[in-house]
Amino acid sequence: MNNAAIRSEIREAVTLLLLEQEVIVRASLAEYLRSCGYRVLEARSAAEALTILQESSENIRVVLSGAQNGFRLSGWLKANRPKVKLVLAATPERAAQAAAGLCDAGPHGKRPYDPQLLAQKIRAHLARGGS
Amino acid sequence: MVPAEIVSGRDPVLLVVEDEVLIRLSVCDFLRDEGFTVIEAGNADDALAVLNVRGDIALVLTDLNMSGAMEGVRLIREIRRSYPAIKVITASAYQVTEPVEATITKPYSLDRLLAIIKSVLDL
Repeated sequence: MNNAAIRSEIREAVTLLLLEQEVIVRASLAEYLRSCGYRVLEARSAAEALTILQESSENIRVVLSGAQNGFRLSGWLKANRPKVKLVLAATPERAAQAAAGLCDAGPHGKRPYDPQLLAQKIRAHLARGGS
Repeated sequence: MVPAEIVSGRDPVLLVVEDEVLIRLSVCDFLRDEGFTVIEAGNADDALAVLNVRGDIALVLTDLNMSGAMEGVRLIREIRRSYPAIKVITASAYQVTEPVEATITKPYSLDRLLAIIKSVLDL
């Protein structure tokens, strides 16, 4: 599938599952993605993500996840939700870039602000005392 | 401090602390639909991390018993000590002995929760 097709498909998806263990990173990314028009569901572990995927009635089309939890989830997604797109991001910087890419393809079709600013703010928050 | 771009709404910012993911999802979704900006935390430590970096939290809605411990009580004590201006509502099947603005007993209706939040925030 080419990039245009992927973006077109994602644009139709308004519900996104964000899987991130670190609360400061998760909250920042979630607010960013909501400001792009996504409906964002938040999970702090692979177990929570699986609970949402299995037990909620949400039509989740995209999962944005930190790498470690994402790998745990990827096998289940391939077997049970092959149409769900899994986007993995190993660091807050990569997560911010991935979120910006999703915003470009998302319901509003634009980024609210530079992803570097988002990553910078996440780093600052983490340095300030986020666990 | 939070960048202005991230603080998406003019409505009060709520911090919801709940370890049961489906309850958290349901409550937070409902409150966002009602116009609040809602931050989610799954335990007391995550909630304190959020409070440490955000100066815009008006109200904390917290469960008391999380992951088998009375984490909510510890959280309330820390909020009272370090963030006395923040309003606290407990949502639990347990009785709270700490001073809070309001309590709601599980199970509860979301409409009842909304009414209590609005009352506590004078909305």
